[in-house]
Amino acid sequence: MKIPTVLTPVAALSCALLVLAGLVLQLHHLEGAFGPTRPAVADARRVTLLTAFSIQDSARYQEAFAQFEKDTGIEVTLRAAGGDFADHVYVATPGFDAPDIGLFAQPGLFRDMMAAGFVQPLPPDLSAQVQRDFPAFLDPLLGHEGRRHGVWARVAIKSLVWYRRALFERYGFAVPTTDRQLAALERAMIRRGFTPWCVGVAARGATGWVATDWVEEFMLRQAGAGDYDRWVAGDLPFSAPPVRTAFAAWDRMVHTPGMVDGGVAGVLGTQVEEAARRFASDPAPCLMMRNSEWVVSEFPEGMPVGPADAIDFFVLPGRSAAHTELLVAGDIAAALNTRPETMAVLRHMASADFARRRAAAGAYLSAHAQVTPNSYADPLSGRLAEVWRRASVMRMDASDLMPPAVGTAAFWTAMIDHLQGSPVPDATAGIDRAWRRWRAAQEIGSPPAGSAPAAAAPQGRQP
Amino acid sequence: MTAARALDDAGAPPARQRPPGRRGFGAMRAGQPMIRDRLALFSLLGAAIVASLLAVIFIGQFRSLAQHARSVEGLHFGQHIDRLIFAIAREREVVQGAASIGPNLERRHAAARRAVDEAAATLQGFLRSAPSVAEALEGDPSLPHLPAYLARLRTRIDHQVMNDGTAEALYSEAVRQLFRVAGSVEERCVAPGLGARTGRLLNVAMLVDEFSRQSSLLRRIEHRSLGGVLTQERAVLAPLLDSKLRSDHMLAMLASHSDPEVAAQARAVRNTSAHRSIQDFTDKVSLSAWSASFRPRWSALLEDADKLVDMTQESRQRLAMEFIGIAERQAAATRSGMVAVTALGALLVATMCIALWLLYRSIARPLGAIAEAAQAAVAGHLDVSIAYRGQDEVGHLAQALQVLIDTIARFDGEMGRARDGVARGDLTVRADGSRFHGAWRALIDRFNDTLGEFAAVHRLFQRQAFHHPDSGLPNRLGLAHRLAEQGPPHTPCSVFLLLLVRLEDLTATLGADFAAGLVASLARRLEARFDGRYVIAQVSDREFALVCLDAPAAAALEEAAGAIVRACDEPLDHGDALMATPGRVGVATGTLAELDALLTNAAIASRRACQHVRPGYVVHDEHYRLQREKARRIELALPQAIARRELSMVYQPVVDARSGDITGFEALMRWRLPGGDAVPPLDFIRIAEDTGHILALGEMALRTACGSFMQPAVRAAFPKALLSVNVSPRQLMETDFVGTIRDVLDASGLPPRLLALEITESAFMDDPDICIERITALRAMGVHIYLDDFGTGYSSLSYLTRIPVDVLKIDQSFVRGRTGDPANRRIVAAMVKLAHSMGITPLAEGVESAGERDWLLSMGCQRHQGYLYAKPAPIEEHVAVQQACAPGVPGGG
Repeated sequence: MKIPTVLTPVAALSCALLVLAGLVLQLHHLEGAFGPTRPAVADARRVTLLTAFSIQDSARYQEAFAQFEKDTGIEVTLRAAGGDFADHVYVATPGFDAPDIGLFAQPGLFRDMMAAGFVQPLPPDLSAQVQRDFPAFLDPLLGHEGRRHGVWARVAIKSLVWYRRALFERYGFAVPTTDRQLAALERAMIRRGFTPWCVGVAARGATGWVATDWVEEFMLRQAGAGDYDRWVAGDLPFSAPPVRTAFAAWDRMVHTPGMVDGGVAGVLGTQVEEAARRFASDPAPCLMMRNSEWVVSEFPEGMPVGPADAIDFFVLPGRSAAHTELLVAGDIAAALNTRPETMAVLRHMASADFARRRAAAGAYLSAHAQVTPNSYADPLSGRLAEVWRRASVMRMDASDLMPPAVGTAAFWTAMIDHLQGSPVPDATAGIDRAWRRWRAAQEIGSPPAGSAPAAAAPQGRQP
Repeated sequence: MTAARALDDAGAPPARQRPPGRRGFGAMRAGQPMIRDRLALFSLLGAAIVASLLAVIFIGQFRSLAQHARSVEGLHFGQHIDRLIFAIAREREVVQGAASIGPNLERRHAAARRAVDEAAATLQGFLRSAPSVAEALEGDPSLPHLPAYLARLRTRIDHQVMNDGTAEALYSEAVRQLFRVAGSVEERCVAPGLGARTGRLLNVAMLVDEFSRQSSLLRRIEHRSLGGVLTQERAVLAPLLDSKLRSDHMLAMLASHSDPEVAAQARAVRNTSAHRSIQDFTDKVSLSAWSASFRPRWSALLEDADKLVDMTQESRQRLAMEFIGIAERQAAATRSGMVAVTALGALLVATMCIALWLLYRSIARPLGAIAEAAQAAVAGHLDVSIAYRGQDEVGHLAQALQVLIDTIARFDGEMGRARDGVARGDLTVRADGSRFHGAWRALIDRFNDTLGEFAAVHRLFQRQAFHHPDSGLPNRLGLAHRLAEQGPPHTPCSVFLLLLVRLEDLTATLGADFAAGLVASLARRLEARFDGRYVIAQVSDREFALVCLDAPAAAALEEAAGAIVRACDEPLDHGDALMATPGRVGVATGTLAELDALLTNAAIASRRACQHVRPGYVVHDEHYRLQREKARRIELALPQAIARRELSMVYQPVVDARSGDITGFEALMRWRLPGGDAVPPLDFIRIAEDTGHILALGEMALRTACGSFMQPAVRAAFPKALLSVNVSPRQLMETDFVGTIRDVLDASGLPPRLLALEITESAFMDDPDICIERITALRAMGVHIYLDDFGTGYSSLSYLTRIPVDVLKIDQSFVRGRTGDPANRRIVAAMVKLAHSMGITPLAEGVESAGERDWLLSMGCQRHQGYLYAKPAPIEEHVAVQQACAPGVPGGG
């Protein structure tokens, strides 16, 4: 019954299995060409900081973040938006290169963005830490509806007068300690053929802020902190006498012949940075310039700054030598989304460690309680920290505190208009109008900066 | 017998002996035709391979189709996203040129935004119907967030004063992201299908965007120049120059593209007057070659810029359409290929099926029928016929097999007939049915006769082997055979062994034949009475065994045994005589397996039954058997015990009850086994009496006791005490006892006056004269004679007068515990009185209490022996006690 056959069932089965295995392999090979390749995962470890910094400042921050990047693997990128900062924050949308953290140089803009929901609140522990480590007078600026939304990344003293110390010494000018002494000094300089001040109000996207600073300085010193606060809150209109007095002081400054370098046209046409460069150039076109310490970076290479050097600073004097009023500014770092990386960077920025590293990079002043004057590497910063500590009255830049529509729009443009010839009442009336419009907008409930963005979701993913 | 059986007997062929399950698939269904299985297997395998091949081809084709579909989707997506990009670019342009448009600004704004929104909506709608693109874009946030981004941007522009450059940058960001999305779709959906050549599509799109940007930048410059003399603002002019540089670069790349059509189009664009016009303008701007009063022809310039945008966009659309065409053509080719493969596959499968069906019908099925027939023939069914009548090789095989089977069937029939004849003993018939004749016939007849004689002798021997010649009943062997047929070994049964007690007498007196006849008559009677109830056998000349396959209760057994005894008691009518042959019955119960033991036990019981007249039967008692076994063991062990000196002597004092002095000791024998167990003296003494070992024992006791008594310590302790030793009747009668005593006394040195011999009354039974003579001789030597166990045996007072006895030992059965019995008191008082009257000292044994002592004393019996005074113990102990009680005072009495 047995039929001899080469193809036994076992052999046949083996052949079939072999063929099937081949087919399966073939199918598997086809699989590779099948379906679209998955999109590459967005670089989740990158955190973008949107700033209004100069290139130098960006470089210093980048330097301060270097260790953090090494420790955590998070890549911190700084993007300078200059005067378009608000625009960029406003349109920040996932998928369109949205920044993760905004460094708000203007507390007013920050407040509006916070109110409109563009900014994420801090986690409770970080919030407590911020409350503990930063000055109480700055704290209210961070809060909205009972929650803190930002971290003080940097503060700056605006009321600094840089002067040509060597020339002062050579020509026998003394550093003034009261506003009367300052006025006398100015007169003496003009009399002796020197130009006291270098002022330039032009700035990329922010022309006018130097002028508003001067008005604020006069407000704080002449009207006092109480009126200043009412003015900032909008309770004291621009048309009120104390404000007009401040405007008058400014007018005296720019319109007194020989008082400012280049006269009114020079003030209008000179960039802020350019003014700083001119002040530090030789021969000196002027002997003094009022601005924050950032201007030092604009001074020419090798121009020494210090109590025994060519250039030094004194605090813009007030009514008495014993009473120091400081106009200050600050950068608030705030999260635009809740990615863990974002929060990690923010947390780092709130730490004393970051402040010290950033201080080591220079041109920096921290409001952090644990950062003492000794923490600063360069003596200038240490001295500035000392000034910060000794100040009897400190107030945040008013134009920054006011709603952006007022402080950084109407106020700025009004100052330019005034410089170009518009009378004071017109200029102040225009700002007051802006105030009223802003209030009206608040009352009818439409947020000044539109609705809250959908930027809460981590970048790179759909909500 | 069938053919199959014949084959089995002859040794089956090896193939049939191979165990099933060794030949793989076919053997899984042992006995099934294998070819059919293989054909089925091959069909399955073939079908699986063909199906798999087709499946692979189909899957490949389907994938290819899906790829083409994806390509087309991607290309359409490209068109949509292009439209969106250009709409956004247009909106950007409108925002840029805001002031120059003047009164139409609002309308143009609205129109541009509407166009963007429409394009975005169309794109979203398209995405919903384009799953491949949606899949490729899954996780990409740009497209889903585009409306939000644009909404914010527009709100910002509407509510705030936005820097021109910022607005341009923010719109360009949207465009940039959309280009990225387009590129990613291109890479994931289009390129896999159409190859890298589609990359130029994106290049052209970017070129279009660049031209559109230039157009908007020109508008901005025109706006800044207020339509007149060219502005000198570098910040306004620089972006245009940058954009021009980029567009030139892209154009150059496209002009040198490997695709000649693309290159030609790029060159054509480069050569248009519009392009040249823009080129001239930018050349002038970059070289600063214009004079302060340079007034470009703004409207012509702007028109040229727009023309350039339109031209390149058209070119791009054309390219896209071309690619869509390619993709669709490829899809169509794939589809037709699939149809061809389907048809070919169906044809292949059908052909295979038909071929396999033909194979099955022409080979597998007829072979199956042939195999079935062959197997049926092997199994013995030789009447099969194979249905297949084909004229091919298989048909020839079928016919040949049919012939073979028919032939085997014929042979089988003939062999069957011959076999049947032999079985009947008829050797005269040949295999073919005819008969033998002549010399062959004679030889066969003689052979048959011899066979018959052998059979008769065999039957006779068998009968003699299994039956008793007297009764014709089965003998012991026959009984065993019969019972083995009755049931399994564990069946319970009762054996009644009938022993004819007078048969020996009858044989001796009336002759063996008579006795045999009587036995035969008895056998008939037993058969008549008990057949059916018992299996009856004659197991010896005078023993019948009646075995009942049941083990009833004792009462029933006794009743049955009584019936058998009664059957024997009735007289038998044999010859002229009317005679009874009384029998005794022994009964034993057990199982069939124990038959031999049961017969033995029943035989023993029947012997015991002989000792009594009534009831004539005894039921076997296991205790009795054990007793006998024990006695047998003692009997066997005794000689060894004597040799090993396991027997020892102990001594019990005889005390004068009035003085408390020890007057003598009775030597008693004890047997302690090596294991420590003691054998009771009564047991072994009686057996020693029966077996004759008592002679050696008695002599040993005498020698040992005398030896011990002559030890100095004993002599010192008990100088006047008498040693009494028991003497068995056989010892006294069967040996030269007097000589032995003399030897012993000589050997030990014991004075004869200190030796007493205790003799029982039974010693006088056999030959009183010799007995008296020997006792007298002993007494003459000075040895004392004690009469032991007085009152228990055949007490013959007459002997007392003839035998010279010194002491009369009153048996303990009269003393121990009998003090309250007045009749006993009279007997004991009489015995004491008798002794005193004959000058014999009475000695009471078994005194265990003070009451008994006083009771005896009150009757005048002073000599006592018993546990009240001392237990039997080695003589050394008594010496020690004596020395302890009276140190320095020698005992005696």
